[in-house]
This record gives sequence, C-alpha cells and structure tokens, in this order.
Amino acid sequence: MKVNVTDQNPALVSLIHNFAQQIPLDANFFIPFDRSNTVKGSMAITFSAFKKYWLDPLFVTFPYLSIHASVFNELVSGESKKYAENRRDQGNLIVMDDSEFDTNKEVYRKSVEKVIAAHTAYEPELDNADDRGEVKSLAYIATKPLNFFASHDSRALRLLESPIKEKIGLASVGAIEIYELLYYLRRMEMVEPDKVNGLKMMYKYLYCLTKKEKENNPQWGDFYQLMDNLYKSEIIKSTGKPTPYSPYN
Amino acid sequence: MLTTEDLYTIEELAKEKRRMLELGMGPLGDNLFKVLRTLGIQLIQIPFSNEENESDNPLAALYLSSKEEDGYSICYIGLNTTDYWDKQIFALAHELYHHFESSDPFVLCRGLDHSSDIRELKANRFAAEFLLPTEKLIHEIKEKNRGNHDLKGWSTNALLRLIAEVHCDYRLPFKAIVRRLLEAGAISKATLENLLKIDARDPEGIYYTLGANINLKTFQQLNSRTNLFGVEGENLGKLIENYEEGKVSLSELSDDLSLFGKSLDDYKLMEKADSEDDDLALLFEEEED
Repeated sequence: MKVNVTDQNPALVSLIHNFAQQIPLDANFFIPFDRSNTVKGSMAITFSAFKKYWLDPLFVTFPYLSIHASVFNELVSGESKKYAENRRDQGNLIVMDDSEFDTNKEVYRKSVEKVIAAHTAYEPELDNADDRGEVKSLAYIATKPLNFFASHDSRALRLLESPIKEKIGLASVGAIEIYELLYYLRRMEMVEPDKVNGLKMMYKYLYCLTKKEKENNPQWGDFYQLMDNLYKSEIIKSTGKPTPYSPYN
Repeated sequence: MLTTEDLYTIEELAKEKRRMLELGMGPLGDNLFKVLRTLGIQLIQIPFSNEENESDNPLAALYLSSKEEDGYSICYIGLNTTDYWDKQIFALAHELYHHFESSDPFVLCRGLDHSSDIRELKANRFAAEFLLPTEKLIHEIKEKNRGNHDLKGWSTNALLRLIAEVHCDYRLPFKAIVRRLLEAGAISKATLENLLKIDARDPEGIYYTLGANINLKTFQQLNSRTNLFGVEGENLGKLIENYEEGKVSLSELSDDLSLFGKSLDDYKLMEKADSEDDDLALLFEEEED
C-alpha cells in the first residue's frame, strides 16, 4: 500500500476540522492485520495487540464510528465479532441499517447500489458475498449522505480513488486510510505514552515491511513530519478536537 | 431415443467443429484441453464426490456462460475430477456440445451414463462423435478386419483387444466405444450386451489386462481418478494480470489463488519482510485481558 504524503486528503481535513462526524468503517478495520500470506517472514497481529494499539484508541477518539449491518454480519472471527458487539451494546458503535430509509430514499439507495455493484463482484439480485459489505456501505453512505468511508486494502478504496466515483453517486464521499488515522491518533495524542510505539509498529507493519515498501514509503519519523507539513496548519486552526490522553482524565 | 435426423445433425456438427478447429479426423485425446483454450472456455477442475454414496454423484460436469452488457461472454466448464480420466475427457466433450448448441447459460450434467433427457443424449452422442468420428472408427475396424467393417464372428478376446487399442488412442471410455461399435453396425446388440457386462475397470479383469499390455502408461492413466483441483495455469495468469494492472491488491490475489490451492509463492510474487520481526514483537504477543 502506498502512503500519500504529498497531497492533502480533503476527507482527513474535514475530520480534523470536526472529529465528531460519523465514520463508516469497513470490515477490515476490525480484523487483525495479517500479511503472512503476502509477505514471507511476517506474522499475523494478535487480537490483543490489535485491540490495544488500534481499536481501543480509535474508539476513544471518534464518537460516531459506524458499520453497516451487512459488514457487521461478515465479522466471523470470534474476537472481532465479540469486540464489535460489545462496542455496539455499549453505544460506541452505530450499526447502519438500510431499513432506516423511507420508500423514496430506499429507491434511491437501491439504484446507487446497482450502479456501484456494476464495478464490483457483487450482484444485488444474487446477494452474493463478494464485495457485498463494501457495496452496501457505500450505497448507504451515498444515500444518507455521509462524508467518508474508512477502509484498508479493498475494492471500495480503489473505487473511491478512481475517476468513476463521480459517475456512481460517490462524488462527495472521501476515503480515509489507516495511515491517516494513525497519524491523527499520534498527532492528537490519543494514546497513552506507552502505546505510542504501537502506532509506529502498526505503521511499519502495514507500510514499511518489505524492501520495496521501504523504498516507496517514508519511515515513521519522516512520515510523521511530512504529514505534519500537510496537515499541521489545519490542526492548529481546528476547534473541533478530541480530548487527548491525559493521566488525569 | 435419438432420431436418424438427430444422429445425422450431430455427426455433421462434430465434423464441422473439427474442421473449424483444424483438428483433422485423428485422435484428439488430451488435446481436448487445447480445444477449450482455443474456444476461450475457462476450465475449473473440482474433485467433487458424494461421500455417502459414490454412485449417486451429483455432478459429472457443468457448463456455465455469462453474457456481459458489452456483448462479451465468459464461458466456463466445471469438471468433476473424481471421475476416471477417460470419463472426464468424455464429460468435457459432452459439455462442448452444450457450448455449441445451448442458449441456456447454465447446464448441470449429473452422471452421463444413464440420462434419458434428449438434450443429454445428444450431448453424449456428440461427445462420442467428436472424440471418435464414425468414419474414423469404421476405418480403424477395416484396418484390423481386412477391409470389412462387420466384426461378427470375432472372439470376445479379439474384440476387447480392438476396443482397448481404440480406448488408448482416442481416450473414449470402454462403454462409449462398445456403443459406437453397435452404432457403426460392427457388432450385434447381443454382443454389445455381453461386452457391457464386463467390468472394464477391474485391474484383475480380462479387459484391464489386455489394455495394460497395449499401452500400460496410457491405460492406467485413463483408469485413474485425477482428483485435480483448480484451473489451468493460463487462467490463473489472468488473476495475476488483474493484480499487475492494479485491479486487485496482493492480498486479494492471494485469497483468489488460495481458492485454487495456489499461493503467491507458486508465482514468485511473495514479498519478503526486510527486517526481523523483533522490531514488531509487541504486535505478535498474546496478552491476557
């Protein structure tokens, strides 16, 4: 995965201006990252580390994280599912359901879903599992409408980054990637000091694990600096900031 | 039962397709796989068996075609590889008939031996004709029978040797060859029934012994179940092209390949971690809640 440290992402800028926006998440945000099938010599991240360095800081930071019902149903790993269920039950995770829409909106949602699906392996008539979660999430987001979709390494990201997004009802939807949120969590000091290194490790695991990635992506320190160059001015002028970690709060 | 007109039409169709594909009239055998590639048919091999009752296997093969909006169509043949190799070849030729004649985008073929469905009978007949054209069969008989295509009076042993030769050369299953001999007027119905009583797969049986002495390697292969799983290398190459063109990510490619029992390592696409995992050790540690 390529890290972009040269262009501002309007979606991240919007989030910096107001962190209390609804952020729909893809299933891959809840499943511990595992590059062992693509990178020799690497292992899967354990759920406990994933929770400690990724999921918990994310939920501490953003009050309106959400997940589409179909994505929720796709969480088959016991620990991921249990974690999402607990967060939902505690009121920390919004489950987006298409039944919320009235008749007119539902007609619109279905038409958007059909157009988006044409660019994926999902067939609405068959309701097959391939890309279903991503397509349904994006169709919901476009209908609502919401500003973002946060995903990692999926067809949804590529759709949101492709020129056709304008034609398929997703013109105003921005993609947010994991490295952007890792930067945000670090910059806003949303983790305890002993967990700061976890963000760096997560970054390294996802973006700087192989020789080729090291050539293409900056190391954590440089990454942080370059992201600061892009976003610090926005952060300074932002009034809507999450409450940073403090030993006293 | 097929009518004389049906038989004529199928024979002509097989001839036409052989001409179109520049196959001549000789044995096709394993070249059938090349025919599928030429026709752009994607072959998916699946070892699929009914564990409870092997004789009630729900699938011999299936044909599936999908017409896209732009008129481009994708065709697939799914082949059950728990069948014997010669039956697999026959099933492929059978599905080719559906490819040529069918407007139906999905055709599921269960056991090919006992179907009474007229379309399936036609597909069986086409398969037999495509793999072993009637005029070629008659030529083979005449070669062995001093120009005469009537095999009446031949001993069972002599008939079995002839069938085994045809079996090894044309890769048509024993029963299909026996039926073809009747259709060509070379043997009587009574002889056909006697021959069909023989267990041609029994390694201790007379037919197997004779066949193994004609061409041991080929005969054993024809009588083995390949149990292969996956698609041909060329088709998997398409998946890799999708990755190279940025249509799928490396992890999605890895998932797709795993469906066919392959990994990135099989294509030298596996990347290598550039440092020891010690740097990332905390990510791999289990912690108690």
